[in-house]
Amino acid sequence: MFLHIPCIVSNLPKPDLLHTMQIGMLDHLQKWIFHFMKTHKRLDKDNAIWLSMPAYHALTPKNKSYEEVSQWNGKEMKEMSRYLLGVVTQSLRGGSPAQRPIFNHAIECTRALLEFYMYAQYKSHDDATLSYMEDALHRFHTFKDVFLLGRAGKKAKAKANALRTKPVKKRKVDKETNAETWTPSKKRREMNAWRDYISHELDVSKELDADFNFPKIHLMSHWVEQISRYGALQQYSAERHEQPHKTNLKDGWNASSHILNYLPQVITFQRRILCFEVRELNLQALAQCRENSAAACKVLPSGADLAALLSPQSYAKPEFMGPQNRRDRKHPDAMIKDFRALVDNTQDATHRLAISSGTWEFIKHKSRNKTYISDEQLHAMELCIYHGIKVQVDGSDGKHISQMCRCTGSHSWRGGDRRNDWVWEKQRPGRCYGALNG
Amino acid sequence: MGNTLVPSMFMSDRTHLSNFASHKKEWPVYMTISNLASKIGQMPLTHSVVMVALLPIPIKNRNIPQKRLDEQRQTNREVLSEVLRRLLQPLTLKHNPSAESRYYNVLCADGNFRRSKPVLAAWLADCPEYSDLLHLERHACSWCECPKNELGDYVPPDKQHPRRDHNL
Repeated sequence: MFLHIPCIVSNLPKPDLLHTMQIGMLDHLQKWIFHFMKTHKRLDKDNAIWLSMPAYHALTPKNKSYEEVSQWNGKEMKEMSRYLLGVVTQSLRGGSPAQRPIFNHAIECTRALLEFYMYAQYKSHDDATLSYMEDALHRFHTFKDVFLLGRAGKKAKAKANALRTKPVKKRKVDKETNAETWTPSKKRREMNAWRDYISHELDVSKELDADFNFPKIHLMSHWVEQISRYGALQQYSAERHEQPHKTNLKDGWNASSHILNYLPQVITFQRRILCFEVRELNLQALAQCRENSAAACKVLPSGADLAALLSPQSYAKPEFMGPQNRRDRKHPDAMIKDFRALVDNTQDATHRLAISSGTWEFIKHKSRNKTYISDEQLHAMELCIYHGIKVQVDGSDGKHISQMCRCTGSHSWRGGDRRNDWVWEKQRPGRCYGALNG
Repeated sequence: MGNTLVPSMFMSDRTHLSNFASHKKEWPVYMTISNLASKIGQMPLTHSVVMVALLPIPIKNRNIPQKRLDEQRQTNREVLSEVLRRLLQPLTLKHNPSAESRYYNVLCADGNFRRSKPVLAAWLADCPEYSDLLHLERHACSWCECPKNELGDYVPPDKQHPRRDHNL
């Protein structure tokens, strides 16, 4: 594919933290631990400890055990990596002298993989951290055989189960021939010994067939070299390009008509949104420029006002004076007051221009019918504040009904956020009003 | 007079749109440059990552003869290769010996023009996509020629398997 491009092809792939580690190896490790706990009958203890994790800074308490959740995402895995070792160590406490070395190996293996992951997340590296990483990887590979049973796939399991048929038949014959001579206690003892023997045989067979040959475990061995050549891994994480899927494709798909040739619709939608957001960024940059030096732009009256008016949040959620972030969020009454002050100042022509151009952009952005008002018309129009307005719409039976739309003030609306929306209403004498759009 | 090297990073990732309507999928290619500060690059609102193309996803062929299937696969590969060639053409143009200038004049964020040279520095994708893009078999390492039955073994740093690109 890259034959014609001047580059070294095997340098193009870069380590991917998200897919290889967070939803790759950590997920595998969780499955192995789950299996390990099950075979050593520690699963209840493990789940109890897992569920009793308290909430802490950036840690959500779990209300489901590991196997109950169908799919884990990268963020949850990141959280989990911070307390997994504690959970494993606690749930593997005690045990008989025969079990102890196995448990210790399991704990060592978990710790080594988590250490490797933590080191891989570092934002800067030196020779020491790289050697620690290599060491952690080596330890992981030394102890990973504890979890070999968890790696048994369908084929290994089927093969092991096929081994069972012969002893079962033999056991049946034994039972019938010795039915009269064996006492009940002898029968029970025989049964237990037989069961242990079979399960041991199955485990040995599964372990023989299972292996760790899957790509992700191998990819880790290149990381130390890749870091020393191309720098920290965080910048190559797939999180960065999974995010734009939403704005570029999924939103467009949701807005499209889902028919056969949906792609033109998706692309038009995406381009419209993109152009608009880039324009917003430009305006914000201009506004900042205006604050810094008085020279730059003549169109923009006051940097702060305009930045607030045109901030992306105020488009995404139409609220008065769109709050920049949660901390700045004002009570709606206060916002209305702010806005009223702004309206009172609209005698100032530049302010008016800013508001009307912002409004114009908003209409272009939001409404489907883009042609029903022009910039100049809007500029000349009246600006009012109402807490509620009545709008006449066509009813389904042909009659006009009037609908009330009002802001909810400080109350929530149907369990959601409070609503203080912008309404652009167009009055035409002699004709009924169209239904409110959006 | 200095020149600016622009390491361009491409990323491709299949995404799933709908379970209905015959499992609609898309395969977008995103582009970004590595010269951006990470603080800017990581913010989605700054549009540091732009979508440049949608690659074609071949239809699944079931119940057709093996010979036709092979032909179809070959065609699919050629189509993908052609799409990528057109997509990456601006990167190759200036490497052509007959090109007038070796550099692009690029308008930078501070309002100045700079002589810059774009290179393909990285292509980020996940494992199955690498095997599609680099023509590897499934579950193969994209860096080295590690056999499939040794994937799980520990590889010391001084005993790495041979590279796929022997020029190194």
